[in-house]
Amino acid sequence: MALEHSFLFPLPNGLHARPASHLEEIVRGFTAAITFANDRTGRTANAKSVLALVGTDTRHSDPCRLVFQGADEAAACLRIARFLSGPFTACDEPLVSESPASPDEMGLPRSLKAAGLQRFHRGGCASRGVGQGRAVVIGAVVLPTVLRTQKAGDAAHERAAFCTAAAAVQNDLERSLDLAHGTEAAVLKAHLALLRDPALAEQIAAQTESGRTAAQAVVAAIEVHAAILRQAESAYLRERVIDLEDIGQRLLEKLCGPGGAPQTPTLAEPAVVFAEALTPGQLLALDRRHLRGLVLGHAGQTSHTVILARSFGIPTLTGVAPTALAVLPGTDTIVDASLGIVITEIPPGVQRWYDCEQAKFSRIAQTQTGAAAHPTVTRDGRRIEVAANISSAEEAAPAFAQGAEGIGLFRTELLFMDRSEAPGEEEQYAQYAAVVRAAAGRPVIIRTLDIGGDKPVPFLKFAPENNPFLGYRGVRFYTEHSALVKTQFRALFRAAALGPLKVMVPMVACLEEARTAKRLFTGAQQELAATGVAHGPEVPFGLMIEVPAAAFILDELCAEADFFSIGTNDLTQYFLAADRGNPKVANLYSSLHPGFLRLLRQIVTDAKARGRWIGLCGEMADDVLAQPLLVGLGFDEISLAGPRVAATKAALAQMAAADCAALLDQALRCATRDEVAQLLAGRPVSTAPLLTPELVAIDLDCRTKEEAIRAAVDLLQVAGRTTKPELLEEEIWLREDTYSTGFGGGLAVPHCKSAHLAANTIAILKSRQGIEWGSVDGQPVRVAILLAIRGDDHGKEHLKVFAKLSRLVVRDEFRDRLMAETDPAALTDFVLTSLNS
Amino acid sequence: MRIVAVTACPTGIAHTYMAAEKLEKTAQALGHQIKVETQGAMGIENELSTADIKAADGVIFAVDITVEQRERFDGKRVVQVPVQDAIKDPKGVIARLG
Repeated sequence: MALEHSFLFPLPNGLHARPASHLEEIVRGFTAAITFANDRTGRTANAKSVLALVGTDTRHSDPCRLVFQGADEAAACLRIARFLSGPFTACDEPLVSESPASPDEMGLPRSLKAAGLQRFHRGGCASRGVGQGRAVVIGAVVLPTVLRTQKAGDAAHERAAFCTAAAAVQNDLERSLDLAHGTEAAVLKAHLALLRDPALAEQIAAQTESGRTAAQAVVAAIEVHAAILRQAESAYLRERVIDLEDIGQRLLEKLCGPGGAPQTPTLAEPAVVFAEALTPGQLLALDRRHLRGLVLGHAGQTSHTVILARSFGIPTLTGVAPTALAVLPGTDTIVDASLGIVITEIPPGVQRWYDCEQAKFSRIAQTQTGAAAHPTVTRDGRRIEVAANISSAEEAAPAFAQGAEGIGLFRTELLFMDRSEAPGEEEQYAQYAAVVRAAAGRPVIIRTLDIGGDKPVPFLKFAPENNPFLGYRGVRFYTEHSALVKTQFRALFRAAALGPLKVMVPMVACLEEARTAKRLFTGAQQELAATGVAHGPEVPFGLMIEVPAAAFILDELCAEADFFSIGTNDLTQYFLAADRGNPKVANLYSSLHPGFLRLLRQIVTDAKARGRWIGLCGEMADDVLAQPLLVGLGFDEISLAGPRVAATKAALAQMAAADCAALLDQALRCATRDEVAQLLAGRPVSTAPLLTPELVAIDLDCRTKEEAIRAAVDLLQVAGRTTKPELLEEEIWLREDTYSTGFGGGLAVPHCKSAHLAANTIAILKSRQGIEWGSVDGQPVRVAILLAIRGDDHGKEHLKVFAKLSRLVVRDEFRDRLMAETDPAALTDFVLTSLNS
Repeated sequence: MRIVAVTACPTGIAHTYMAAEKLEKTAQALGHQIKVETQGAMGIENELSTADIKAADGVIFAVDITVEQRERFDGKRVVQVPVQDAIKDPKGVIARLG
């Protein structure tokens, strides 16, 4: 006979790997055959197989049965029924939100929602931009090419090889389990259960029987089970694919040795790479010609992978939910890092929206290429270099292509990380030399090693620290590891023979440290000179100003230093005693704090008084609001991520140093950070003309009001009149929401007051097909005139112009001419002339 | 007929002036005298004096928001319409003055 126990499935997240492994653990203790049946899905499973249990796609409250058959069935039924109503109900976390984000959440442009955007996942923007390509999942179990066609031994041999590998992985997992607690331990347990799962073993056996090697069998078996999980209704179950792939990865490493460890996939077409985590090495190994975006589960905003992605201009999202990472490889994917979303189901309207977005970006790029080729000079003739920050030699050429006038910061840590021994002099020389060659005579600042407790490297044994940022890092370990540092100085001196190279030392807090570094520096040069090795004759020696104390002894430091560069990220965090990575205090971290601005002024003044060159290489350089202050402060150079160089050069060329100095004076008199921010947001109204031909679009292919308003905002963005198109778009819509601005006769006057405008603006759109605008007469709109005025513009001059234009548009003769004119320049002329008459 | 009118819309940038223009042009074409006060982003312009209002045969408010200094019109019969109506059908609005 058989016994049956019926129950409603009690766990909120359904039957996923972790609870399944708990159940399996109990079931395993009985000899009876125990079958799990889900009466909703109609699926049954061997209860001794975690994979089979998970494959039943069981959700909360599903009607389920356990069927027991065998010698100890009575005891098993009793015990397991007790377990299910007792400890089992407490073995999983409550349900976390698993559904993709909803488009009604704040911040997405209405035009994008109207285009049909429904399902997407959110992530944190780590590197701005938009990219589209086929999903490539790193972490997916992929066999190295050479092993794919390898011939198998006999099935018994391959099965034995698998068993040995499985035992080794089990051993590793059990050892890790000894040290793990909480969630980590639960995950390891689930992995262990997957590993000894009979369903997996059966699948492997079947695969080896059919002539596959153990490694090939693992790949095939993992894919079979991953496919089952991907079809699960519960997103929580779908994301268990990651657990399975992790096991597969571990097995492959055991089977194939270190050479068989997972390899970076080859990108053969535009690709968006999904990964739980990505090492800088893995990123560098990807073919960037095809890499359109990165979607990462874990990666800090300041991780080297993210810094690299930014530097290459690869749109990157981090903190993406595991559900999103369980995407089917090959899925057409859009990453919009600027909006913080990834889309793997792309309706036609959304595709069209992003096609327009790409077209806009190329128009913006075109307008910036002009400035990129020339040295940056403000309107009133002040020269300021715009340089690029890099962390690998590969980034230099793309940065110079963007118009970088030098390398303002080459972080060398990456060369030293993810490896078992320090790079030798030759290897370092090759990297530094490559950058100097790419610079072709432009200046290159290379920063010596800045590693410590927060960025551990295996070959330097740093003891764990409670507070690594205030610990043993940067120049502080140069005395103990002088050989390592001297090797770096030697390589730098040699590379300096090829072009203008400057050396900069990080984290200096006191004169003694500067002296120590300088001694090693000159020692390296003397060695090279003594042995007749070619090297740069005069290499400037600089200090990075990151520790506030250094700012107050700049006069003393000048005795050792030829130049300075301010690292605003660390200087801000140390000066304000606030870690921006800590959400509770991140709001305190601001480079616009008046105290910080005063500190910057003091540093620049002291450096200039002693004739020292001074640059700035932190993220403050990339803050468009702060840039006028940096010009006002009188920096010789600012250095930022390569992809931001062209836009920054264009922006600085529009500024006048005298205005910037006046603005700085005002900012320095502000009492609070918010006052400074307000001051900067409300910069003097630009004197740009209200309407120019580039703000006129003729024969526009727009199908909806949403598309038309978005197209109008795009015109403003391309013309450099807004950097927040999605906010401007929303403001125009808020006005449309009260009632349509389509006032009849085929005309509409959308308008707004906005804080996101550089200048008051009129834009004119002429539609090819006529747009349904909700007009009073129900007629489609042929011409839309956007009136956008800055919210802080209290002058009446432009309001008067707008009032006059409003009176003009209701006159038939004016409307007829608007309708008839097809040349942007002529239309601009006509409107401006009418306004002046 | 002597008409006075006030126009005012939510942002005070466009419709206030479109309505004023429409009312002025249409009234003149119909042979009426008209003075239109705009209450827009620039504040009150072409302000109606007490004498203007007193002498008027009809008062039109083409407004989507509350009229400023409404007390000036105490005792007058006012035809109030949404701004859009004055733009769409100024003739009809004027006709409602009777």
